[in-house]
Amino acid sequence: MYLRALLLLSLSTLCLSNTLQGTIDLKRLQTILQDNIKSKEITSLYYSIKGLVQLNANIPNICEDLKTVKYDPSNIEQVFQLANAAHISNCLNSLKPDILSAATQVLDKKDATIPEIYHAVYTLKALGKGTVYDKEDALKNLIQLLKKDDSPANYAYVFALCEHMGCGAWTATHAEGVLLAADESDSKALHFEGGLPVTSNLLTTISRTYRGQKKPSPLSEEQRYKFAEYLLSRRSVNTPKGACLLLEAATALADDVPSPISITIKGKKYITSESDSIEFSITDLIGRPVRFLKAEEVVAQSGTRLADDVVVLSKQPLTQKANEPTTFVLNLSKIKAQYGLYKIALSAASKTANVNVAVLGEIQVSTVEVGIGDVDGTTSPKVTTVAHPNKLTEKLQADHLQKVTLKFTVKDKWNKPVLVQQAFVRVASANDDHETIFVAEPDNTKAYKVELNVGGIAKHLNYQSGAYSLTMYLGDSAVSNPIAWPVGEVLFNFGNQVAAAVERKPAVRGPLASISHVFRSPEARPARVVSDVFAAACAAPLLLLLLLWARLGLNFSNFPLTPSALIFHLALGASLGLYGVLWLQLSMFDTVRYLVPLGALTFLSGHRLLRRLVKDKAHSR
Amino acid sequence: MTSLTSVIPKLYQEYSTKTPKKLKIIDAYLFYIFLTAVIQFVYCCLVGTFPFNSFLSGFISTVSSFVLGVCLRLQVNPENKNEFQGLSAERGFADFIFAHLVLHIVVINFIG
Repeated sequence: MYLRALLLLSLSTLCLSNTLQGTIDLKRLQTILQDNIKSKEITSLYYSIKGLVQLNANIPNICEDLKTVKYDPSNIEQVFQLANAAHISNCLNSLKPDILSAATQVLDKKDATIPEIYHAVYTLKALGKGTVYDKEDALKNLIQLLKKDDSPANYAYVFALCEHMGCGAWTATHAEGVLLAADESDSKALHFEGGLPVTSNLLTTISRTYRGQKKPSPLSEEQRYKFAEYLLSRRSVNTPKGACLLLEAATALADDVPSPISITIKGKKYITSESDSIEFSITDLIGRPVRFLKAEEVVAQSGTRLADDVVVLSKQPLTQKANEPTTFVLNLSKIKAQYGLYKIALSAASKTANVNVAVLGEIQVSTVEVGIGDVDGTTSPKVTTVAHPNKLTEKLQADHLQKVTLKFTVKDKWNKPVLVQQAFVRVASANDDHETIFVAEPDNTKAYKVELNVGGIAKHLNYQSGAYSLTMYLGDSAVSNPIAWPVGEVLFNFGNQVAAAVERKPAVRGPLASISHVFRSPEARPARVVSDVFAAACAAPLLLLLLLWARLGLNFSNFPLTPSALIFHLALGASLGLYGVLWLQLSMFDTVRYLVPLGALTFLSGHRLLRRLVKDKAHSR
Repeated sequence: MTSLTSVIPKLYQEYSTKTPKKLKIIDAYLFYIFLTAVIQFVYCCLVGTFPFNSFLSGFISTVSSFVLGVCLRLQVNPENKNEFQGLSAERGFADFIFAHLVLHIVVINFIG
């Protein structure tokens, strides 16, 4: 249901809403412009004064400022701004004569660009030197330059020059093509490459030219809305240049007929039983009343409740507020009885906008029945009725074989049972901060019921018998008076389950104990005596061996006293000794490092010794 | 059928007289190894195998030493001369020493 409503909502905003959702705040722009009128910087000063003239606002005398303002005489754009600011404010006398030469120098250049030509020509125009300018030739020249760089910015300058030269007809034949070259973003807004300055220049120049030619605007309605969307997206400008350009473009669009319409809710977006009307503001892009819009053409075409798609109103006309031609009032007293979210399709002439409106209602709950009965239902429960907003007069008692039942009905202002989005009962310990929240479920008759099986909820409450407070919470997004009602206290006895109570663990936060490797604990070792006896027993056969060898008559005197024999035996002994050291402390790598030279020594000496023995044997034979 | 009591002294006498002295030395060595292994095994049965790797390395050391000793004895025995043509007793001894060095580095590594 909600999903469908949402889907419908998103579809409607996509397809049906063909109006603007806001206006450009002229007051804010004017503040920006007035704050910068005394700027020491020529660009800010120029755009501030230009914008204020557009707004018909009071312009302070700035002739002294123009004398001291900083500008670069070699920058034709700044020269242009200075000359035009002086022209607008009637301060031409405060200009220095070198301005004129700056402009003529640019025009004498062979390779002047379109922006340079534009700025130079308009500087001269501001200074009152209506240049002798061969119309046909100049236009051909400009078209040649356009072929090199046909950016929208250049077209804007050429159109503006045409205004001066009187070639508006050429503009009229090319404007539509340029408009088609606008970039689209999000399939919602149109703008030209170069952003607000280019967009603004083109829109204002084109609309001025067409008005001069007494032709209808070349903009289609869709284009007009999309350019307006773009301008709305830039409404947070805060430089005087941005403010002035936005102002000019928005005024140009708003002056077009038919101009884009903005439909917004003015003030609160909800109604209550006390105030049952909603105000809409229907204006053009810059907040003026829409021209040619008759009051009776503003109609609420339909109103739908989002929760169940029930149509609650259709074709209800709005009333225009006296003295406020942009404000229209929709009376919703018909639907104020049932709270919820509503979607209203509002149309002004041929345009329709969808707006969501909330009807806030009041709820009340008169009584709650607190019943305590056996879980198996063998005895009828003992019911205590409490009236809102009183509390239970006594502490009720319930043990683990019983259950506590809370029954209540939520009613609206007219005593009709209603459903709310949120209905909870909170069971909280009176002693500590342990709490559990249960959801109250409505039945077919919209009566809410919560069953607390005392044995069953014990685990949620940590098996801690004692006093618990019951609090009822009722709320809804369209309800103006959510209810939190402390009903009273109940003594829960969780019986012998207390024995199974677990120690309440402190909340686990912060790092866990680090894990360290634990070696397998050694098994019990034999007594020291046993080990010693067996060590001696293992060594005993060695003695036996020596004894046996002695009896066999081992001939030690036959030991060849040669260096090789000595070295061999020493090296062999050293190797075995090294093994002992390996066992006690060395690592395998160290051992092998020592063993390699020892082994080589043993091998060489042993080889030599044994060869000698063999030779001796052969001799003795 | 001659009785066992008459065979054993005969056998011992034969061994004493006919076996070369070198082999007797090796036999004494083998006997020593054998006894050590038996004592280790008895310890294992009486007290337990903990730490098992130490017991194992000790026991394997004795068994391997015994095997190597038997091999040396085979090679040194003059009666087997035809089997080991061109391999002198000294060569056998060198091999015995080398094998022991390799064996015991492993044993020591395993003993823990």
